[in-house]
Amino acid sequence: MSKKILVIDDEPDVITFLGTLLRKNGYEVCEACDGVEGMKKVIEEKPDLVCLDLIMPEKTGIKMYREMRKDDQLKKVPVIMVTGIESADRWDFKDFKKFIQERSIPRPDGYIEKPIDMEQFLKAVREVLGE
Amino acid sequence: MGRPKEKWTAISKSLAFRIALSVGLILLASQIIFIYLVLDIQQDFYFERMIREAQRFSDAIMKAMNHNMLQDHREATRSIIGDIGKQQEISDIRIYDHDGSIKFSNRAFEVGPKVNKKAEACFACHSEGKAFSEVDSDKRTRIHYHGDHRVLGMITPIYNKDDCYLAACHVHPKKQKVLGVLDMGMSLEGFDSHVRSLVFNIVLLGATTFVAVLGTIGLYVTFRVHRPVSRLRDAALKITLGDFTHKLTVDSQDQIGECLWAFNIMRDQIRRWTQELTRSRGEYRSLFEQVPCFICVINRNFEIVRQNSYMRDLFQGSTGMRCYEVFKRRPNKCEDCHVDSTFQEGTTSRKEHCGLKVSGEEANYLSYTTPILDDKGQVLYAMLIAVDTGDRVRLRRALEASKDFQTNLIESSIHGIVATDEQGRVNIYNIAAENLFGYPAQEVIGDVALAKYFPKQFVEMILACQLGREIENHRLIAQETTVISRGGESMPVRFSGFVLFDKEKTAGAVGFFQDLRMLKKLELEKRASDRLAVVGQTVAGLAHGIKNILTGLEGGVYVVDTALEDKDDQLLQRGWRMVQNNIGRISILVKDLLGYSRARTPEYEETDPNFLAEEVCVLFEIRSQDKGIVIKRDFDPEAGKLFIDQRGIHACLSNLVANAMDACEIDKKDTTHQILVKTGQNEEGNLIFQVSDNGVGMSEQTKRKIFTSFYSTKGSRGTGLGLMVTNKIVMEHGGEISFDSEEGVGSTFTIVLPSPELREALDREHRKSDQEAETKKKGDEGVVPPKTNADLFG
Repeated sequence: MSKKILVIDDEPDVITFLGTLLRKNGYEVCEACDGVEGMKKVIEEKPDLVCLDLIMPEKTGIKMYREMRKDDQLKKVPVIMVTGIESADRWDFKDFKKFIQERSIPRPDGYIEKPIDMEQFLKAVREVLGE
Repeated sequence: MGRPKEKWTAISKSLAFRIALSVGLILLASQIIFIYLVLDIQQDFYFERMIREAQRFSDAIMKAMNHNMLQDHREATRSIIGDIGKQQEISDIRIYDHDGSIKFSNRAFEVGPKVNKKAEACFACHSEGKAFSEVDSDKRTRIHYHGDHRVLGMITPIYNKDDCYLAACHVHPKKQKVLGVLDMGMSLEGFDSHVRSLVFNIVLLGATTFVAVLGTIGLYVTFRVHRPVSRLRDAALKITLGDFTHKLTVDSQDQIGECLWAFNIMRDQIRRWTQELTRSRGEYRSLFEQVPCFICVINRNFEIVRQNSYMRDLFQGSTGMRCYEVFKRRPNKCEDCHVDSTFQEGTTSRKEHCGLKVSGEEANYLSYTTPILDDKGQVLYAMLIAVDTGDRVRLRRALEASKDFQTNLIESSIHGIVATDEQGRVNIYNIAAENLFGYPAQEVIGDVALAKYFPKQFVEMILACQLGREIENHRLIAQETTVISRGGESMPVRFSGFVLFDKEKTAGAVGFFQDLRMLKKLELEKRASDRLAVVGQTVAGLAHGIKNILTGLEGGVYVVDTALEDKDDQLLQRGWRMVQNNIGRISILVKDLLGYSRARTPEYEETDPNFLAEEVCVLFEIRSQDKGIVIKRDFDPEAGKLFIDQRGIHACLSNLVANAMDACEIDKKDTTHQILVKTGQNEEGNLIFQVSDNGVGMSEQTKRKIFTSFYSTKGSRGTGLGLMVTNKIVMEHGGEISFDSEEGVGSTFTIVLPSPELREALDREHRKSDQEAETKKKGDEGVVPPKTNADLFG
């Protein structure tokens, strides 16, 4: 049975791209465009992996990630963060890691930085899913 | 014994008694004199009558006896004499012969003897030793007493007439003049009784009158004079004791009543004067003692004879000390002593002094000396009244210090300060203003051409206030404007002006000029620097945008490849759209970036703002209709043509309308979404463009960041530069953009473009600053990016 991966990103193009890539590689994909929808889908679909964008409207990826980690059921769901750079806050990848560490948020299972390298992404997915 | 004596003493002193007694005595004396005179006259009268009667009677007797005597009828004569003698009124009657023998008498025993010539009956004729041949009638009478009553004796000589010496008896010779004497004594008893009665009546009358008068006068005086006078006396005594309450009752219209009435008036007047005097004394005392200035009286020896408490407290000099010892702590008189001049000239003198208080502290005072004259007009004392002017001196010094400080403040101010007096003449023109305007101070002070210095609006305010016209506003606060220097240079300033009032009357005006040349230059440099910073910022932001675009492009290519591989048309279309979209995004990004980073000079042309807004509405109308969004217009027909940069403002409006459409698109409210495009002018004459929507509105976070570069709420659809570019264009116009938004309700963006004059000045500054920036950049980088195709291709 193929693993189900939930892709959460406010960019439709990213969802299309990652969805096509994952389906091509035999995964079942479900999608959400923001943190609120994402939380619903996590609970409903019970995915094996969540690919979570960092900065989204309604609810950011960070907030959603925290909620997941506080939930007894959801905290077990592995998460790969798909990050860009938020120019307003002047974050880069290192700053984000430091942010996670300082607030004692459990580290995600993987980080993928945009622009997304397909091979790296698939490798991270397989590693997280234990394939 | 004492009381009656006292009573008698009181009575004897009383006016009534004295008047009554005086009048009574005078009356009595008058009456006595009157009685005496009347009695005397009466007596004389009656006596004369009696004498005449006696004489007539004697004559009658003589005539009656004449015949008998001629006939020598002695018995008849004797009978007649006897009969006559029996009469009550006749006391005695006798006839004497020539020798003095009584021949006939009513008393028989008297007949015969001879009387002495010295007897009182004979005295009248024989008084000088010889008989008179004629006797005056007044000497023929005599008064003598017979028993207890008086008798009037009348001697009637019997003259030897022709009949007598020719008579048959031939007794008496011719040469014998007087044959004898008839001596008749008429009793005066009746007469005396009558007189006594008369006297008694008169005396009685007099006494009665005296008593009556005495009593009447006494009573009258007592009631009409004594009592009122006593009341008057008592009232006067009360007045002397200060009791003015007792008013006398005026109960008569006579002089006493008038006196009482006058007394009452006098009482009132004295009471008023006394009260006035008492008040004056009180006031004087208060004035002298409590007035907050020191007063002393100085004699010719310069000794203080009297001083008030204020002076005592201040100088603690005592009476008897010399004034110069007390005020100046000197051993001798001051050289310019004005007390002395008052004594010398007898006039008031004034002088300002500096003395020493008892505390040793300096005392400044202004003193006046006034002469106090005696009855002869000689200066007896000098009264010195002095006011402590220490406060005034201190105030003056403080005022001078304040004035100096104010002058320093004004001159030290980095802002130009120009002020006018109430007549519109420049009276303050500081160094900063001189540097700003270039006119030297001596040319400006007193100048009335205020338009050279102040903005026109403020000059109008000043003139209106001077003319007393009511205006709404008396001040301009922080208004950006331009002033023209002496050299003709137009300089941007921030002007604040105030019309000054003193008790609702115009006192002048003041204007503060903040030279904005440096600020504007710095603003332009900052804008240029910001643009450069943004350009620098773009490195990070651009990377983010480009990364997203690359992800989209790469993803799109992968999806296309997968679709081609799987022959999935639907997927193919999705993938190709991804590629197209992202290529479009790159194009917009580059355009926006170039548009933002380039310092574009607005190209002003006369434009109808309503026409421009209509163009933008038409541009977005088709798209909005597809999305079910209504674009409404609210154009102000009064918004006339203005000089604005059409392209720039078109881009701004387009951005705002596009944002509004996006906000409506993502809004999930079940309502008809509308976009309202509005034009108008505000009170200052600035042009307003406004775009409102009832879309999704903005959160607080979004509000904070919307003008920040690359912040977009539109995800992949926005470059994040739209509002920044709009803001930039508006600022280049010298205007400002603002917004109001409520999450879930909608947003309103407002662009305000300034008035043409200010815009023109700023425009010149922009051009000048841009040229400088370009020159600098050229110097820094060696390459000047082309602004226009003309720059590129020459």
